Amino acid sequence: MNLDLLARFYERMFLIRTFEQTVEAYFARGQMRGTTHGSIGQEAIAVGVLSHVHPDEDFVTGTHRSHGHFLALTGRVFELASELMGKKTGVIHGRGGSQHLAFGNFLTNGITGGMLPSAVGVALAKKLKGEPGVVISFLGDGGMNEGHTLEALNLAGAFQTPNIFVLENNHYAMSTVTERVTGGTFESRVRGFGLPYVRHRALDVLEIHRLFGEIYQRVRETRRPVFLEFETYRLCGHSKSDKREYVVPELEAYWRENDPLLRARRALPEETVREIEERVRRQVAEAFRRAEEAPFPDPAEELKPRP
Amino acid sequence: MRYIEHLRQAIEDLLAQDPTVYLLGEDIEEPYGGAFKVTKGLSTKFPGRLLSMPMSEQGYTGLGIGMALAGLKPIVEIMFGDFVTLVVDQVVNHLAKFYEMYDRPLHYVLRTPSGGYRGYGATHSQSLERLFLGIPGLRVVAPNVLSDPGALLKTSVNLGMPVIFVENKLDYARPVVTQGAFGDLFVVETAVADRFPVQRLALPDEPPEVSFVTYGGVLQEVIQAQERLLYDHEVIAETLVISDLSHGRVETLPLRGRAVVVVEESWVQFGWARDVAYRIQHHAGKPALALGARDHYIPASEPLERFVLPTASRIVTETLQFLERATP
Ligand SMILES: Cc1ncc(C[n+]2csc(CCOP(=O)(O)OP(=O)(O)O)c2C)c(N)n1
Ligand SMILES: [Mg+2]
Repeated sequence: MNLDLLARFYERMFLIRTFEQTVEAYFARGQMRGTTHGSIGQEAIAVGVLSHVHPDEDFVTGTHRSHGHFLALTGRVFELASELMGKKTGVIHGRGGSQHLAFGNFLTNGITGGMLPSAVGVALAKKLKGEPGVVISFLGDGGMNEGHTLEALNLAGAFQTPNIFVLENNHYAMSTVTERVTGGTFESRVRGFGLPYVRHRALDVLEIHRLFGEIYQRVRETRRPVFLEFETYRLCGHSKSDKREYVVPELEAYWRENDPLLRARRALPEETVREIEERVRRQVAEAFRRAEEAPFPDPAEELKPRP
Repeated sequence: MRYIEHLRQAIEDLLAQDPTVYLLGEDIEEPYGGAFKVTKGLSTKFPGRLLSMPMSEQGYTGLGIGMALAGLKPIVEIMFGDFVTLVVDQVVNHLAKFYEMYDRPLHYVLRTPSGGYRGYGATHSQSLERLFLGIPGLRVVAPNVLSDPGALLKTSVNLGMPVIFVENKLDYARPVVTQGAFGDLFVVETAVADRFPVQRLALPDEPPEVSFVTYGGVLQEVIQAQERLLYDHEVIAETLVISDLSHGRVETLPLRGRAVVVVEESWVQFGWARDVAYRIQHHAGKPALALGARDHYIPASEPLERFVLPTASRIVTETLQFLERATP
């Protein structure tokens, strides 16, 4: 096992979890406006997958639940905390909030599955222009039942675009157990559109990193789409006010037992873990404190008149 | 040249001059060339630049958005304006937001033919561009037979802001006259010079009593009303036809009539015409009336369809009544 790599990944995973927990605490104290979707339990996917990205060449689309994706990609805690607080120092100066992030070639949006058609379009443009790079798109199991998602998968299959679809199947769409409202299987659906399909239970960040690395290289070379489903679990509420009354006990028990973050933690020397956690806690606390002190954006600067 | 030829020529010029321009839509390639033949012949001339799409309107509307994010200039065709209902989410919650909230210049034109008076019935006759009016981050542009549709399309493609480009099915076959004599009576001139000009149709030298303000294909009914008012009622009217429906400056239109009648093809309730009439009345201080379709779906049978949609005869009647009421 590569302990250095694991330590690096653990630090990012712990950063994401600490960030999300801090956000939960702010909401609980009524210190944040709007809403938020945490990614506690799913950190290993964001970290393992995005460790491969070339930010200048590749394009990444996220979802309503993308704090982890953003942090895995950029590490910019202060900018994200600022964005959530509606501050000028935010990712897009507070205009977007938790669900609407844009940073270079990384875009998220608040419509479940809605980014997928654009993601195929970016990949098609790469193909038409003969440019390198791939498009990586996260989506949820609930988003898999949206019409635009299915249309986008068909377009990727029809035009053979360099897309990697990363389904984070955490079994729930808000309070709905997705399996109970899904006809057939995601696998047969995806294969039906002519896309290769890979499924993996997302327990081990190094394993995710290795698997995604293979797929990433393959799509960079073949310029053809691949669909990757991760089985995962959200160990937090859907959004700020969720009491989680709908959870399936067996799933809950399994994933509490197999939290990928704790698994990585157990594999590291205690001393390393302590150093990482202290460093990250300081980093996050400092970022939130600075974000609190940061100024609000000026409407005259942010909201320009129509050209 | 006819309206459709202006469009086809503009698309041809764009494809020839700008390698980043692509067309996306259903049945746009040869041998079909589009449901209304706007792209006839172009896929042969420009192989690989017209991309035939499956019947997945929201999917390929979004596909175009991604292409625009990657720096291309897609022109996306939705076969009938009625089908924009299927793409509203991609346009409103994605395209408009990427442009304004994410502050990305985007070259994106969604072309769609709108309008009725053809007996095509409820789902193939509407003017649903109304759904996009008032949405920040979008511009709704509608050519007409007095404003060069090709020039407007070129401007739209190069604007750097998403444009909903509303064509008219009956206008495709009509000749375009942008300056000078129009028929035996009227003259066309530019009333407001702009990237998206406002054109005026009027009698030379005679000041009008009433000004019509309109856009798109219903201009045809307005022009007939203008003629009948003159011949049958000795009322002189002028018409100002707008091509940028998101135009925020209707308050300052150079209106010469003492009263104003704003006409749109779509439903008058909660519509464009009423908003424009309100702004003219309150900011320009002239009495203004809004006319449009009656509050029903658009039936197929001709007398029923013409009952619902605004017609020249209804425009004449209601204008005369309005002028009487609005007499100082
Ligand atoms: C089109 C649309 N419908 C509904 C919602 C409200 N909503 C937000 S997240 C969510 C559940 C999404 O589930 P999934 O795609 O599995 O992602 P997860 O929340 O599990 O990450 C719903 C219903 C939305 N944002 N967009
Ligand atoms: Mg889910």
